[in-house]
Amino acid sequence: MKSTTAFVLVAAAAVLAGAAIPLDRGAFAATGVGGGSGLGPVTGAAAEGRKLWLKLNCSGCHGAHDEGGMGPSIHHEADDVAEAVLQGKGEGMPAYSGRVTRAQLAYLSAYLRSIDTAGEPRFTHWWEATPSR
Amino acid sequence: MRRSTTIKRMPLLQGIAAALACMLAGSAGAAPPVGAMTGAEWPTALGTAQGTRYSSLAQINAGNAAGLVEEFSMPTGIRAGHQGQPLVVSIGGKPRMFVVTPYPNRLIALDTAGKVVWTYTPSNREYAQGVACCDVVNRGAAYAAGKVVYSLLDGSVVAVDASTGKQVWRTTVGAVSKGETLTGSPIIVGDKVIVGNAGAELGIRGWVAGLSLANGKLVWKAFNTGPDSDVKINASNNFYAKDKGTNLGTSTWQSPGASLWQQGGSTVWGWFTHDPDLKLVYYGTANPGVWNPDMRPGDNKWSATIFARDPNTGVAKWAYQLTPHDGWDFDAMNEAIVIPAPSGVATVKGKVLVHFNKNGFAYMLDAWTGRVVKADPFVHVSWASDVNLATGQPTVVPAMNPHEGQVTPGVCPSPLGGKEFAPAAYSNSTGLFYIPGINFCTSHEPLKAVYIPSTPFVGDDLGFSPDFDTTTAPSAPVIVPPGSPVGFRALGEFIAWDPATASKAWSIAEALPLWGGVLATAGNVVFYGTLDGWFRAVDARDGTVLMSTLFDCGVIGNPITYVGADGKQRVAVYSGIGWLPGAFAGGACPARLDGDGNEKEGEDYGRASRAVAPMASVPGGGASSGVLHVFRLP
Repeated sequence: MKSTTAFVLVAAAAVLAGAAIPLDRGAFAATGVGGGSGLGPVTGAAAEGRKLWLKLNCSGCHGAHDEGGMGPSIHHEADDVAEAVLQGKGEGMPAYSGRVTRAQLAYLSAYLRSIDTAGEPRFTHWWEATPSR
Repeated sequence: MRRSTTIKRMPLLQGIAAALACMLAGSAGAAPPVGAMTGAEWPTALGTAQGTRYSSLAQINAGNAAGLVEEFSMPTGIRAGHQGQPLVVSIGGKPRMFVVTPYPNRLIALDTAGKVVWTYTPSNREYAQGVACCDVVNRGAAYAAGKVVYSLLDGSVVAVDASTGKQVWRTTVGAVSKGETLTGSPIIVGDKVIVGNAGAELGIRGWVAGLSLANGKLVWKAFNTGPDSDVKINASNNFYAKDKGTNLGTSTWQSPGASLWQQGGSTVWGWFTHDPDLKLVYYGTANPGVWNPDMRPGDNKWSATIFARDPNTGVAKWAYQLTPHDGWDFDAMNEAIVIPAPSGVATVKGKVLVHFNKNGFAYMLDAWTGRVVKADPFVHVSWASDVNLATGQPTVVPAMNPHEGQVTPGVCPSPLGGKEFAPAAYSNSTGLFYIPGINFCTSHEPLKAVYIPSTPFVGDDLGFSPDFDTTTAPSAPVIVPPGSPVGFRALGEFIAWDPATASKAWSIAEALPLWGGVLATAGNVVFYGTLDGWFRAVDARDGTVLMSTLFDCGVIGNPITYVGADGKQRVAVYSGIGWLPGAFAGGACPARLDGDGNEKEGEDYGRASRAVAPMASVPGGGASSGVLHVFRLP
């Protein structure tokens, strides 16, 4: 960390946020990326978007669940991310043009719209066809 | 500019701390080694080239430090985290202070009464803000030959005329478009400026470079991964068999079908030290690139390594890899402090390096050869049982090796380390080292990761936890929150470490992880700050808290001491933790918004932490900027 990387501490913050004092062991059972609240949907458009969110390293800057970190939280702009993804932005967002398709952009928007809803995918094993975790 | 007086409040844990402070002041018998010390000036980040952060000044001492008052404070106008420290050097016969701000990395020159003399504002690519993993920080400047030299976040190094504030030269050495940033402090050795890059989480390749102090031209550059010609190493010179061989910087990255050493991290974002007698410069490298260790079988050299190099040519004298095949984020970038070898410690040339690694071991190395003289845990270490002094290998506990798709719980220390980047200090008076310690543990679950330039290349799911194992050595202060059935090691622990016995002399419990550095003085006073806003002076001998003052924001900067124009000793430190440590302290401080939701004054180049529950009582967040604080006796 640098070790204290954004994703690390955002994860830490997520864990600590759930740890009202007095503390107990159970309060810290949650994990960072997964969030410890079940997998959520593992198929469908939002799930496909979640896979891309992790695979394309969106999570590294914007947070495992888009809570923000190195980059801002963006799920309130879920329908309006295509231009930034494709062309990049000046303050550190690289251009993904050539790395994502229009269909994939739609999946990403579907995932962002799902955040903080009952249908939010929370799995971590993005590389599995049907994520097991 | 505002003036204020010191607020004295009883810190939450002071009583606990006092109870836990053992009255063991240094080792019995032989006098402690006499290390390098500063005097009236503070000309380089760690005070001395050897990194001791020890001052010969004693006007402020254990007998009067309780009376310290804040002489003045100066907002820098920027809300991001304020790591590092000012410099103070004599310019034209008058002491002058130099403050480097976080991005946009302004350089502010002050007289010692706090009046701004000039401000230098460099151009600085805005793209750098988004690829800096851990806030847009800067760890300070170095001074020599009339120039103040420091790094810009966007990959450039600048030299500024200390008298006029005019830029003398600027050299771009890092590619910010690939995710390279510069956050560390350079060191100046003779006519060379030595710098390193940051960004091991973005799939870049670590390096150090030597620039001409006169004109900024690149003289040499040595990578920390790759073939020997790039690394400038003949590994047959290394002390241990495990570190000998040809092109280990490529062959120990055994990923099938890939050459991950090219994305191998191993950056140099911490500190440099130098010993003029041995004519070597020392630094440690960061974690290997991509955190998922299953993606990079092998030792992954030269990540998590301490290098000794010739400052004039960059050629390695030796390298010692502390944590082979790191799967826990155990960078070795913490400072390697040079002191004379203690009595009874056999070395080739009478010098040792003392290094408190993130991995939880306190190392003492022969500074000439890299041989490990001692390696003992200074916090609870669960990932390894010991370090084999004959082979140099840590004895890894097999169950602590993380693997892809599996959760490995109970790894201590966490990626915050037993100690983070905040530098320790060594006191000639007590023979003790003073460590800003952290007690945290983690679960790791490595995940597959894909390299995409200029994005984080990590692959690890972490679950931080306090350390509920309070019985395993070494002992530490235990916090039992009211109503809680269990206790845990204090998240922050200010440790006085006796190198002679490789044990704690005493320690002070702190509510939050310690991320600020330490200053020790001949007045037997040690200074440090906390994430929850306290700045403390404690007795170097027994840990008695002499003075505590509460800032509007916490401290991740490093105190310094110097003599003002009136001949009186001062102590200075920054406050302002920014968004990232704010994750542990109730949110960013300074915050972006006030209590009514209105945008505060001050330049905001960092990111806002999402609101999190504070782990301790934290200041109200009234600050709108990072602040320089200067203290003196009344």
